[in-house]
Amino acid sequence: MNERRLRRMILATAPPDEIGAQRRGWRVTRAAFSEREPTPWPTRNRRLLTAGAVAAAALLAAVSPPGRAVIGGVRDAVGTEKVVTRAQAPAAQQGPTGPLRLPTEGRVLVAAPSGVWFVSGQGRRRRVGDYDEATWAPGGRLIGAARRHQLVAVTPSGRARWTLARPRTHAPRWAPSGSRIAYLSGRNLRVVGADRTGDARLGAADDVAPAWRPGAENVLAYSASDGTVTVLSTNDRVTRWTAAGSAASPSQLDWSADGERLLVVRDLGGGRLGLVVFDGDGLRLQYLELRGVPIEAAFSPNDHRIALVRRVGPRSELLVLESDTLRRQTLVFSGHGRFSDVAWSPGGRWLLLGWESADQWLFFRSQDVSKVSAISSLAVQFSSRGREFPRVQGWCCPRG
Amino acid sequence: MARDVPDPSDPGIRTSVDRPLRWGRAYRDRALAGLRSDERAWLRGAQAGSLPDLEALFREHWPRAYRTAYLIVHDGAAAEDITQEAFLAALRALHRFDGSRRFGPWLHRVVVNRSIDWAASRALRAEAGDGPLAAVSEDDDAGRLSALPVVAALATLSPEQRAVIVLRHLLEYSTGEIAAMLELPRKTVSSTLQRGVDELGELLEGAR
Repeated sequence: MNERRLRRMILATAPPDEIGAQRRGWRVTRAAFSEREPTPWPTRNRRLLTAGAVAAAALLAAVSPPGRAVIGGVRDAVGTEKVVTRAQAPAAQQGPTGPLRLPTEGRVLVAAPSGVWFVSGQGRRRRVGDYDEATWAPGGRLIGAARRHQLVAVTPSGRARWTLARPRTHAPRWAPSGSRIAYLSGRNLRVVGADRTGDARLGAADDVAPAWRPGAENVLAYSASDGTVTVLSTNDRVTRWTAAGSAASPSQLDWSADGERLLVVRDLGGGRLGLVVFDGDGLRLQYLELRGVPIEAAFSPNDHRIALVRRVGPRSELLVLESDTLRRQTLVFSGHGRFSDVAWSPGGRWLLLGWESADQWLFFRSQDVSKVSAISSLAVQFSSRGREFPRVQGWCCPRG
Repeated sequence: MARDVPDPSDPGIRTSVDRPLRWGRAYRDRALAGLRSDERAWLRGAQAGSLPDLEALFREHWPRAYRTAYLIVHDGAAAEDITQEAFLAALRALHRFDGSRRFGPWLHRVVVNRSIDWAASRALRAEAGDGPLAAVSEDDDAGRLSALPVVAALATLSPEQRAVIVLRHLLEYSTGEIAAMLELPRKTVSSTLQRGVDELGELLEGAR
């Protein structure tokens, strides 16, 4: 076979849905383009500026002896470094403001292999430090961060306020009262004051993140080592109530924003999941078994709706359920591959869905699928190697 | 700023993106000659925030980039993702792109390297029923049947061989340019290309 014939055959190969792919590609590209800032004029015309500077210096050198010194300076600048203009310098200090812009106010805390970051509403991202997991303090003025054997209270700018050394520290959760942080140290549940005082072990626990009940009472739900869901007042260390049986061995715990509902998510095995809803006093209100493997669930900040991410076979789904009648379910989005996280915006109008397989965050305006925006290439944005998808740790603070 | 591109507010922009490929004149020739000044202007325009200029760049380069990715990974969805990611990477780098350089080779380099990575990782985690022709056979039509042998034959080559062949015979780069793109010695590219073409020839002749 000659090369000409081979070329003809290659040119005749049409990929599937070529037009559709191009149309979709353009939509994403256009959306990303509309969110970026235009390149400043000096950057676009760097060559022109450089040429102008060289010409001006040559002229100066020709007409005045002191101008010769300028030639050296310009040669140094042009020959060994790129010309940095005044317009560029502030942009470099602020960090990238590209296609990461959030659709609404607030800040998203993110854990990536390169550390913990936060993304502000304007799209600015900032690395907080070399941590594995993190939690917002109420109001977003501080972050509780964990790395291997340390718990750290750190400002969003990355300045550590204090550190506490404990083995295998993970799953930190800052109390809504602001006064305490619960965390797991190996298989022990511990609580420490927000000022680093009073660190104490509360009991043996499963490897499930504890959940603070909203309010000032410092009530905490956790999964004890025998799988019992335990709700405990950390002020007086009195157990308020426990639940086993249908709620035993949860994979996740979450309180509604009014503290009136506790959601217990269970992985039942065999591709099924269970949702159990309790009221604040431990009365079981709802129980529902569904198809799929539970990935994450989150209560809306406004009401008793639950956003649930599950994996069903090769697909993943985002559902919204009314926790008072679990049978009323709305499928918000379904896609191939893995979804990783779901988070409500502080005002409850937007849902952030992490689509790991597509390396994207999708933002849905409430449950309205027609209002959806996407941010792509997240792995690269948070890691130079760009191999691992960043995990959402929390979306906080309407006026952050 | 926009040259011969539709108004972005015009709904007809969709039809412009839908326009089929024009294969009459060699892409590389046009990229090197007639389009070069246009492309430079489009780049400057896009850097300044002009959507029509960006669309012109997109329209010029998307079809080949997508086709390139598809011929290397043999998976329509993956090819779409790779091409889309390459364009988003281009957007992120747009502010520091040197307007005197050509956009196409830069984009192709990203697409090809990502496609090779994808195909290599796919080979490592090959699953049952993940045959390379699955995407094609799902959606056969008369137009594609004639190209099926070349897709099947390409699938028997290594991702690097596919990349070299696609860069040479679809995008019409020289072996020197391919060597620079893939960061390989020129001799390696030449021998990879020759071996790949020979193997393809045998397979395609045998299939007749």
